[in-house]
Amino acid sequence: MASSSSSSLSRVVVKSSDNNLFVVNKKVASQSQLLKQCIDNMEEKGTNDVILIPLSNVTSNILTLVLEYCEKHADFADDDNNNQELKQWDHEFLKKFDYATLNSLTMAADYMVTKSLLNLCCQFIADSIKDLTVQQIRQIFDIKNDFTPQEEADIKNENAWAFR
Amino acid sequence: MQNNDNLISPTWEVLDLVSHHLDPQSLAIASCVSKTWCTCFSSDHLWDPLCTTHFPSLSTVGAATLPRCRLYGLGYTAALRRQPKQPRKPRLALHRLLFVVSVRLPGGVVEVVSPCGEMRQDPHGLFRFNIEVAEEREWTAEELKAVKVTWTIVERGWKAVFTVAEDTGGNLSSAVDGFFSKELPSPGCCSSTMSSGLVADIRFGLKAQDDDSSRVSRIEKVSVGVMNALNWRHVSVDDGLLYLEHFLHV
Repeated sequence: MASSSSSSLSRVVVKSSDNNLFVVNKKVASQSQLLKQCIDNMEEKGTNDVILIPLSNVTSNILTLVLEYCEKHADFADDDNNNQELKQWDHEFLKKFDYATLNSLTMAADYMVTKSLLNLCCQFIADSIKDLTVQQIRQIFDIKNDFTPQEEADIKNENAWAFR
Repeated sequence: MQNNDNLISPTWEVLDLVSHHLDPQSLAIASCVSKTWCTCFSSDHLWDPLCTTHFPSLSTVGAATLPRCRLYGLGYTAALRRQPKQPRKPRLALHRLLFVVSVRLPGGVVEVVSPCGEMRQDPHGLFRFNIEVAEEREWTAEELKAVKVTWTIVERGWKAVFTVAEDTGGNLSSAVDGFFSKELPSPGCCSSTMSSGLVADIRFGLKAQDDDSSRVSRIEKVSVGVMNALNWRHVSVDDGLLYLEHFLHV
């Protein structure tokens, strides 16, 4: 891919942990601070090659989702987080996933420093934990109770104030 | 290499990230889910700012020995106990009460019986009632000096009686209006050494006229009420009834 005389690239290639390549528009990639940092560093060096960024922590199915999010958000200004249409889209976007996918997506957002996606995922998980009983949380997230009866009694006693 | 795609439960990294989006109550409940969740949601670095924000005066207490999540729990419970309870509505109603005020003078007794339901309510909703006295007798200053007054409240149908003030003396001699007060008994929720903080307030409206050489007065009205001894104001009707409930309502 030949770059223009401005020496700034319009696209980068991102490689997932399972070795799939994604060609990403620079504006979209910049939604991730990690990718943006890489691009900025390369541009400072004045390289004219296509930049390849390997992400050893993100599988291609998760990377697809992160990039889908970045693509949507690249269309809106940075300070446009209160846009109702965008909020609605965010909500619909996350609603589709099971907790396993949400977990991986959260880790990917953290790793790729996509702050708004990270906040979105964390808030979504937090909202689904809120107002649940201990038993309901264990059920929904399929968590084994590994406390001994005594330990469980103690921890519940310490936190008794929260069980209204 | 990420290998969590088939795990339903959030990994500890994610729990740590999510923890900053949870309110203290949810954090405490989530701490009881499992050992991993407990570790993620009860760390000091998470609870320390919460303690400092919500209970700044406590945040130096027990800092060395007590985990911050425990400290928050203590602060929360303490704050809850300090909150005034939402006062419940009294079960006792005014119209079930009868006031009996008897005024004992050396020359005789004036007794007024008045059902509360028929009395005009105080416009500010205070426990304060005016009772008209239809009594023609006149009293000299000397007699008024020795006056004793008893205020009894009767629950309709003679279910119960409560003597608010008994044989209470006051000053009626010189002024046109006189006022008597008597501390009320504690309603028994604390030990008897705790005071109720309330006083019975009894006032007289006198009509004086100069008759020949001596000055005589007629008792025109009696006003009775319950006052708070701390701020010297009348309590509200509801508060008055709540207090009386202890002595009257069976």
